[in-house]
Amino acid sequence: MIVSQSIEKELIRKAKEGNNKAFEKLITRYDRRIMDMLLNILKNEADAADAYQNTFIKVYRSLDNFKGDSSFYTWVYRIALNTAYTHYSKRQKVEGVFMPELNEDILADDSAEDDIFAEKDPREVVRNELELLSVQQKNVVYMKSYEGKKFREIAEILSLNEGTVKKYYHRAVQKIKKRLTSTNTI
Amino acid sequence: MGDNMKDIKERIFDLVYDEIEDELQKRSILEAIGSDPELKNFYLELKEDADLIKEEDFISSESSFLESNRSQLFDKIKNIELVDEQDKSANNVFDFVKRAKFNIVLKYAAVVLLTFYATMYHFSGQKQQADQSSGYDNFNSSYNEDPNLQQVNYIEGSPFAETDRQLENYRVDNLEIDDKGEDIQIDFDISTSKTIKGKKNDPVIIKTLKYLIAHESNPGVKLRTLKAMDKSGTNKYEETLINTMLNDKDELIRRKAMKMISKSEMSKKSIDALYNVVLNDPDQVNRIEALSILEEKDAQYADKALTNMPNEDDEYLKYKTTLINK
Repeated sequence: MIVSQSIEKELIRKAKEGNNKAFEKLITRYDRRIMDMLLNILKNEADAADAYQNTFIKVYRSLDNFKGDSSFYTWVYRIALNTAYTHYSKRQKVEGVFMPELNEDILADDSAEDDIFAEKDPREVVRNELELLSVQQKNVVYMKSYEGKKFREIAEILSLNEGTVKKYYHRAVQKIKKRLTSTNTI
Repeated sequence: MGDNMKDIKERIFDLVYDEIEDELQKRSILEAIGSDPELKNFYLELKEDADLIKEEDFISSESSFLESNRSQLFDKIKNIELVDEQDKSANNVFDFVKRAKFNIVLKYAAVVLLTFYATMYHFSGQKQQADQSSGYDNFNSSYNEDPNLQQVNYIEGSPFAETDRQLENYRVDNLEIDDKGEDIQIDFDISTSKTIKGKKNDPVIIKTLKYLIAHESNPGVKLRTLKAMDKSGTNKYEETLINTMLNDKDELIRRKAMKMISKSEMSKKSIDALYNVVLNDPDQVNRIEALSILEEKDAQYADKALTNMPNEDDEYLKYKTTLINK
């Protein structure tokens, strides 16, 4: 771990001096996790690919601003997340669809009994519900359940306090559970 | 809720979500769970919650997709470097000119922006009026009950083999149970308009439900079938439920079957099966739930299970095993 951190510091220093090979090495340490996050937030490859390019170009251009207050990955992750938000809100404006708040209202009624069985496979229900979470909730759930991060790490990345992050997670789980119960899935 | 209780519940939450690293702290939370049934239930509930969302519910990027994006990025970065160098020399020449013209450009930009916003404001007012007058008159439900619904079976005592054959060929579209659990109706593909409908004790209904639990591939249908069994009384389904609890590939279905069996008086056979779940179920939550039920139904048997428990990764089960092996 210590070796890995010192290698990272060295790569950052070289990249700041304009060594592109060092920058490439630095990126390949983390870009899979960043791409996974972008895919899960944006839900399509074209948008995720755009956001990936924009993220790392921003990282490249603002490398001098990285002072080491947080870990390099946390810093990159924040840039990626902001880029994803920008893509996401642009898409909402263009398509005028995918409005989680509206969908939550629709789901609040108990018409779930009318659903066909295709929607009652518990895994399908969970995946559909994950889609309907607000972006912030989705981020928290993604970082916790997929990346296995601690709540305090998530709080640091999102600049929220730990209690708020826990609430986001808990509410998201309760929402999914409610949906599973209302569709008689559990 | 007292502050103490609230605090310990928050710490149980942290334990379930792997937030606590301090072993002593873990130990004190586990002791609290072990000694208070309310906290144990809370822990079980949280474990179930934590089990709802799984890693496979998220998308992982394909290596080829990542690689192609990576090489595009690295090419772009090389170009940025070139462009930046060209920009630097160009900037030296144009800097003075730019500064001189900046004030004039700013004034023009302000005029253009104001005109643009004024125009947008005017037209958005018109659009709102048009939207309000359009209404939603065209929304109608297209669902009509089919008057020619074909009753495939429902003649009491008709040979099950016929139904069995039909079940193999048709997909279940719906399974309805009335509130009292008296009447059960199973509808097959809409295109075939076939249905099986009957009272809960009708042998055809019982056999159909058993068939569905054993052979159906859609877990949604299975869960609804379990609900039908639950509502209509589980005694006649004990064997089926035991098999489901032990062998179904879906952990939620195994868990549901386990909870159903445990609601009523459990036979020796069910208890043995439960013991098996504690030791062998691949799902951690199912093992904890099974132990909890076994502790209520037969404490000695629960202790025996703990003594024989293989290496456990769940904190609570580990803690219980340590206690019993002391």
